[in-house]
Amino acid sequence: MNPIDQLSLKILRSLAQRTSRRGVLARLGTALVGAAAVPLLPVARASAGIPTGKMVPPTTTGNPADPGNPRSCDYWRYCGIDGFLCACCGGSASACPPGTEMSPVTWVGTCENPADGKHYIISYNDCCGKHGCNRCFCNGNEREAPEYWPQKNNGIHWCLGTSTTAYTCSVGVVIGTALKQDEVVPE
Amino acid sequence: MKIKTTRMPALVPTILCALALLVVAPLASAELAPEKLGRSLSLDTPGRHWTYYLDFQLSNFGGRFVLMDANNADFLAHVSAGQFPALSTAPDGKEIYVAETTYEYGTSGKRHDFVSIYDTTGYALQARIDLPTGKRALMGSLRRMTLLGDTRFLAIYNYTPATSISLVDLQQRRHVTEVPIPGCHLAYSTGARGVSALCGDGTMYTLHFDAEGALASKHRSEAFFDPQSDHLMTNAVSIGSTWYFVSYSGDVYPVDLSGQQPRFSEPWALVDHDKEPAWLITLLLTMGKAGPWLPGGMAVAAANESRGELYVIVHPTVWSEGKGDHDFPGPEVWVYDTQRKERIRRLEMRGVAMSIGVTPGETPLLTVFGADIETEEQHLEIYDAITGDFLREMYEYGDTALGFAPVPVPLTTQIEGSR
Repeated sequence: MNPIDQLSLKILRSLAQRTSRRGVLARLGTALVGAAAVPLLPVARASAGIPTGKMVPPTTTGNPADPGNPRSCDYWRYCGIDGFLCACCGGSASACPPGTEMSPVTWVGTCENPADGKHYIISYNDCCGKHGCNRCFCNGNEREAPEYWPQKNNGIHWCLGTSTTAYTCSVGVVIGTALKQDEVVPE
Repeated sequence: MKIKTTRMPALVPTILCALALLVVAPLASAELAPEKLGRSLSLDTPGRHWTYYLDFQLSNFGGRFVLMDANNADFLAHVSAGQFPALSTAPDGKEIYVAETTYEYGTSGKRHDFVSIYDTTGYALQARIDLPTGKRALMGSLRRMTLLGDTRFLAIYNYTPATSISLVDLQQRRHVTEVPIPGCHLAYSTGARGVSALCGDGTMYTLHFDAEGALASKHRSEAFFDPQSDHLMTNAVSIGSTWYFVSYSGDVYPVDLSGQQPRFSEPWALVDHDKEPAWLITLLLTMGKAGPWLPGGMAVAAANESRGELYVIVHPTVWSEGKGDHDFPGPEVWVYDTQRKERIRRLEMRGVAMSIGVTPGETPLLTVFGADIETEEQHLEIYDAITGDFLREMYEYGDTALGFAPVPVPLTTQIEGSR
């Protein structure tokens, strides 16, 4: 996105957030980008309403270096997550709920931690073995790639290498800091 | 006189009531004949706007395929399916093939991967063909299975994450062979008896089989797109043997899969790449619709063969911030003439479209799985694909309608004049 785009978007968002008018304009700034939570794969909930987790009581990590609410799609490390948040399902941001099994095969993304401004490599693992949790559904698709780049695709069902492919929820595990573009050593 | 004038009209309703009773009375007294127990209905000649959709359910990551009539938004039939099912329809419309995965005890126990064959009259299970256990790809793409040109064979994409193609012989009702397709993904029917897969380096990998289903040849093409600069969305659609792959940035890559090897044509633009971002005030007034635009959606495209038209969901770039979110839904569907390679219509949605399908014939209907922008409520909507008029909505369709597969209707049996 070019700088004019970025500036326009920033102003648009700040204007939109100040207006109380419901409708597209207001949603443009806040939720339309969140309409990315509507389409997906895997998918949104139907008429019963999308389980967005908005009414789920928040939690914290208790660590100032890891700020935010792990039960919210906005939590920094969920920038590439696609699925139900395990933190809403008896697990945590990085651990599976009781009785489920973490898939050893995964997709990775990089997210910026607002506490230190560093980009971290996040491993998005699915927790498998029970029904879909059906709470706190998030769909972060930023910089996601099609199936022919599976390591960057979040539409693939990642309950692979587990005893069953039944999908329960997803976690985002910090596995290291990412190098900046200019620090990457060419192969 | 006064009495006379008031009494006469008062008599009229009385007489009418009496007459009405005379007419209704025999009907009311007729007894209903006992009905036959144990009947199930079956379907006859397909309507020209019949289409299947995938009702994907989050609770079990499984679902069902529902047959609906887009002409009246009616529910006609459905088939149950296990995890991440895939559907193919026989070109004569007489059978459907559903690839599915189930577990012996719901979410645990022995895994079963198989293809179920249903007839399209009574929707009874005709056969079940076992696939190699634990290999079938479980993911959202709609291109994980394809019927080959020789419709005796069905190709199924496997992902473990090692990738391969399983070939099923529908005539002999058996799995014939499994061929690795290293680094390549999904399955697009090619030529008489072949299948092509899309590879991470921008090439295509094509397999051809002999008349008995044994591997006859394999071929890797030159690169026809650069995934480092622009990705292709994998839910491509075909007109004849030409597949149309929509790219993240808004180009379409036509690939002719009629022969032994893919033939790639020059990509052409679906959106105006030179469009300057609008001034802020214009942006606000038009809610970004002044452009520029990008394609996006789950089933992002649909095709109508008779008219040679390609349908693509688009959204203002500013909505998705151009961050490569290829699932981002759009408030418009743009229609292209694939011969002239230009946009010929813009169809406005009531909300945003996430997945689209288009029915065959000269007067097609557009089926849309969409959402209301304000309430985020989801809807299965039907539009006139020519005028763009919203026609009707199917209520209580299930959890989702992720992808559409119109019923192929042989021209000779099409029901004309139904709309």
